[in-house]
Amino acid sequence: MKYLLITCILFCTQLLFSQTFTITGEVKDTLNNPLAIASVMLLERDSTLVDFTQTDLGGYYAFKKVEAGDYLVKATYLGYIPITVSVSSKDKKVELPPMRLTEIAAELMEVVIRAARAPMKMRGDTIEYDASTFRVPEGSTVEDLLRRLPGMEVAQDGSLRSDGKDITKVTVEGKDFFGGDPTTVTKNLPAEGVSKVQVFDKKSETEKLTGIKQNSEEKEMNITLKEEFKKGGFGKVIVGGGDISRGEIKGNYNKFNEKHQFSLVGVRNNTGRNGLNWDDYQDFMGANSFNFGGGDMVYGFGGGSGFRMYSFGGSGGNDLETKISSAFFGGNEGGFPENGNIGLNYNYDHKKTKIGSTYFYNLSGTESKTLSNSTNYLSTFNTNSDRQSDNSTNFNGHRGEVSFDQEIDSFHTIIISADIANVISKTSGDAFTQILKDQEDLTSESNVKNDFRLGGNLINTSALLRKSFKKKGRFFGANISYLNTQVNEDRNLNSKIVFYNNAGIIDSTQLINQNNASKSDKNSFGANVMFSEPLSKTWFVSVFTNYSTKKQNGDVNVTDLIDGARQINDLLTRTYTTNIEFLRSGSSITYSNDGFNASVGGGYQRFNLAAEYAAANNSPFNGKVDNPFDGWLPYADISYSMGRNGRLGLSYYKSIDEPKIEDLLPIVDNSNPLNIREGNPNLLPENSHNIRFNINKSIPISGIRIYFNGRGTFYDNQVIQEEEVDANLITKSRPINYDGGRRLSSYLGFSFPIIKNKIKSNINFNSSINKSFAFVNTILNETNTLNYRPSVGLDITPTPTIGLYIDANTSITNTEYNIANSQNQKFIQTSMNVKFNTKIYKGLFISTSYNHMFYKNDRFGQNIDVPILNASIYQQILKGKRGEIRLSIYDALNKNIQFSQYAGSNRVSQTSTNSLARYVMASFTYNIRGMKDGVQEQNWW
Amino acid sequence: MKNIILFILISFALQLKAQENTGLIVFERHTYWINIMSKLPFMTQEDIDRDMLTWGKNQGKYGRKYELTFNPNKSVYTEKEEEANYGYSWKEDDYLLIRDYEEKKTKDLVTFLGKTFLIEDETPKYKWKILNEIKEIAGYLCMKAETVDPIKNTPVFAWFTNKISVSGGPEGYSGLPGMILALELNENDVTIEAISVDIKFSVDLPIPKKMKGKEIKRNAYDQKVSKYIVETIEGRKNPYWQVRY
Repeated sequence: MKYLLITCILFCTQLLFSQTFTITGEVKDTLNNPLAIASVMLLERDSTLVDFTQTDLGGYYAFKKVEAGDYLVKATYLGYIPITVSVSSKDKKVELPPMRLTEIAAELMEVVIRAARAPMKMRGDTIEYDASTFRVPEGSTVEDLLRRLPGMEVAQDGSLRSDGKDITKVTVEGKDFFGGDPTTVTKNLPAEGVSKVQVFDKKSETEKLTGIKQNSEEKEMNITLKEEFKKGGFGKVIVGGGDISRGEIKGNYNKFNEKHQFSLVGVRNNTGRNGLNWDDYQDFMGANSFNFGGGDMVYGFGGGSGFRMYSFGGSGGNDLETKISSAFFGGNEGGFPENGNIGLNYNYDHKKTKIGSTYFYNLSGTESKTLSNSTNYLSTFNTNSDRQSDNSTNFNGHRGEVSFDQEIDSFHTIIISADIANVISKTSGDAFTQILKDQEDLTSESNVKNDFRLGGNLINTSALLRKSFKKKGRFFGANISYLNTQVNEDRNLNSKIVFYNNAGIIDSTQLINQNNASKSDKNSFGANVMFSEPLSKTWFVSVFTNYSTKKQNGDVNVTDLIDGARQINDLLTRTYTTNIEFLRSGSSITYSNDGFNASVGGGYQRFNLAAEYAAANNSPFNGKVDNPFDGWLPYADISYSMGRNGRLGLSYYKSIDEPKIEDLLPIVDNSNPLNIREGNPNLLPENSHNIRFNINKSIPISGIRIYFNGRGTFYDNQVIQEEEVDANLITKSRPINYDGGRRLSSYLGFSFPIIKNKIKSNINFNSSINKSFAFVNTILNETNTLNYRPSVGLDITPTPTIGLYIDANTSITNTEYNIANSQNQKFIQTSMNVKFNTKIYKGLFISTSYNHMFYKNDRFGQNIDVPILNASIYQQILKGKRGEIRLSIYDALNKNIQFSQYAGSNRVSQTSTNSLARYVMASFTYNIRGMKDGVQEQNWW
Repeated sequence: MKNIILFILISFALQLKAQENTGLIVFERHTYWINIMSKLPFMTQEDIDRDMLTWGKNQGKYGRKYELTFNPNKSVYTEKEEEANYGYSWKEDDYLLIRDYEEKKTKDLVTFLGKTFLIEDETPKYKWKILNEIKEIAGYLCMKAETVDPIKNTPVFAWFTNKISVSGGPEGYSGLPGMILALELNENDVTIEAISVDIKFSVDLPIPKKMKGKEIKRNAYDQKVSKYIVETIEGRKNPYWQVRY
């Protein structure tokens, strides 16, 4: 027993000892010289690193205490091809035969490793490298590329040799190409598309069968293509038809690679939905999506230095001076709309040059019937006006935008851009209005027909230079811009107004049959310069200057049709020239360090408002405006980062804004003969003092976000209206300056998850307090408005196939008038929304949305509610979910109406526009990329 | 005897010349956001194509610089301070990794979701596979190796040179027969590549006197990060806006 135990212990120790062994060997070059300090690695059979060591001066290495098993020993030495041998633990000591490393051909080292900086892959007999890093001139073929590759010979006839052996077969992506004739491939394929070139020994049939390697005299080549060259285009088409003659068609197609992006978009519909959204915009503009604004940026305070500001064009697409981008973000304004767009975009981006070019055609029109009623408060009585109008608008616009962005060297960039546009818009309206005094005495009845046509052309160009310096933080920017617009307007006004006296008997009748043909030509030029300089790591100073001049010449020719003959209307006909010159210069100093930034600065601004105007026959209306106006512009800004996910900011700035030209010139707008407007040559620029405060904080781990914004604007020389209401209740208004108006607003938001990733809620609270003024029959009216709007929302996503989004908000507006406080208003507007999307079964989805609006105003006993229910069911079809058939019902309850209410200085009004109501539509979509499978909305936070 | 001493001296000098083990490496770290987002499970092909079209050309254009200061025993890896911040400064996250090669210990100061943690632990062991590929980085011939990201479970490629005999690297990676001069995280989501290598006789390791943060073990920290990533992706958001990739 004892012996047995001892034997056992001995045996075990033996076993323990035998579990580790030693591997030794030496590393040499092909000439049998030892390689010292070569790296030798002990790997598992799957190449996992176990241990490593270095050879000594004699080229010897040793691995001690190696656990039993199967290993690889890999020797590497700078500039040599690594060698791997396998080893198993048979003995306690394993001595490996010397490993002889082959030097990598000097040419390969030089060209691939040093010059092209490409990684080199060793795969047995194949050396593979990334050919995309080899520089060849544009338009080169693969043959041109091969000429540059080390070890490759290209003969006159295009035949190839590698390391002295003929290449008899060329494959692309491992597949035969044109029967495998090497020259067809190499002469036709563009070099830019190539990612890798692999050359290996041709395997003979016996080798393929037996796997025994034979020495081959022939080689084969395989070419791998770059990802982008394999990519096709993508696009989408939607076709739909419905009852009450509703239809939509929309298509877009994109193609892009490394350098070029081409896209096309087309839309035609009469559904009232614009048909274009943010995604379409991004697909259309591609890499140029966030590049507009071109080079005509006006430098100011706080613009930083190297930062580029991104801003979007206005919301309406029908102005002459707008950007193509705005066509994608238009809203529905009620009525029965028609809409059509065609757009083409091409971007080029290669090395240091970027070109963006876009053409866009937009055609739109609306037919609508509007009912509106408004009340004006005068010191002794009120006027009530009821108006019914039929309107139609028609718009046609062509636009082109080109931008060219060139990086001259690492310190200089220039951007040149040009926009051209041509627009034609037609509007016609037919309105019937009754005006009552104190809601009972009919004062007038009018029928006004307007036919208005506008035609305009625009050219807008700019050039910008950005310069940075060797000294980090130093920056210089300069730009110039030129804009020219030519506008022709033609208005035919046909109106009949019947005035009644106190007894309700016709007092007089006014007939107007007038044509107003006007022309204006505007030329503006602007130049902006800025420079910023770091004083130290934390202090910066910057200076800027802005200059602009806007010259406008115009004619307003008004003729009356009296007894069938056209006669010039001396009271309304004008010619004018205006020139608004603007010069602003300022400087600021900034301290910024560790998340804290503070700047103070000041500037000086000068406006010169000059105008000359003349009536037709040297009437007393001739005059001149020459109003220089200047002022100081103080500026201060503080921001503080509270960690990475919180920020606090406070800023003050003053701005001085020029008056609109139509407000400045004494030109009469009588398109509504009951409400005549005229400009004021004595008008001064409006000054505003702005204070902003914001704080936000998020706690990502719990998904909580809190934010608060507050802002206040206090006006001096605010442009307000001065109204005069005559005995016939015709209102004449003109703009004047007045001090003391203000707007205060705040926004508080809080969002948090109730159940993580399943139920998220958000609570917001908006409020605003405004004070505004108006003069009516020389009496000052002060109006105070208080608005608050609480809202709550819930996003419920219990499973990946359900998305339920609920939100409700109510907006309460209190309006108080100082001269007619019996008229104080309170109106409440409540909105409730529910959206529900779900996947019912394989590829079958339901999507519904319900919106219920309530409009309430107790003073008018008004209580309107508009419920809108939309629903659709859709089935994804075809391979890769490329197709979709959808059946939708819009406004299922047939209640659609566009309603709005307003209460401002001495006026309350409500407008309702009848709109496209219930319709059913069937549509088919084909999307090359496949349809979206999810039902949940994307959120980026 | 004299000859032997001379031989030893010469070979010692040769050894010194060949063995570079003290110095400063500047790395540039590039993040390829579109590549990262493309791999998130909730992104559709349409979303990916759109992002690629809009931002693809600019992704990874601007890198951030990091410095690895090392000697044979220790290294410190942290973000390189910019010469100027262009007039606006954000609050930066803490990111300082100390590796002690002798003691096999690590000390990391890192910010995760706005909170600073101090991770003092053993050096993590990476399972490296050695691949058959070579490339030159910053004048050094490097060999390729592969491991797996311990948190994200994604492939990590490293390029190391045995000319610098310190077994360290950027972003805390170590354990190869030489210095890591480049990393490729999950194919091309993030790349970190040496732009300059400055070999010196001695360096001052920029170890701050005070390192304040909530103490945590590496395992617990990794679990915290991993949990956030999983939950955020489940909520259809990109976790890497908040978490260092």
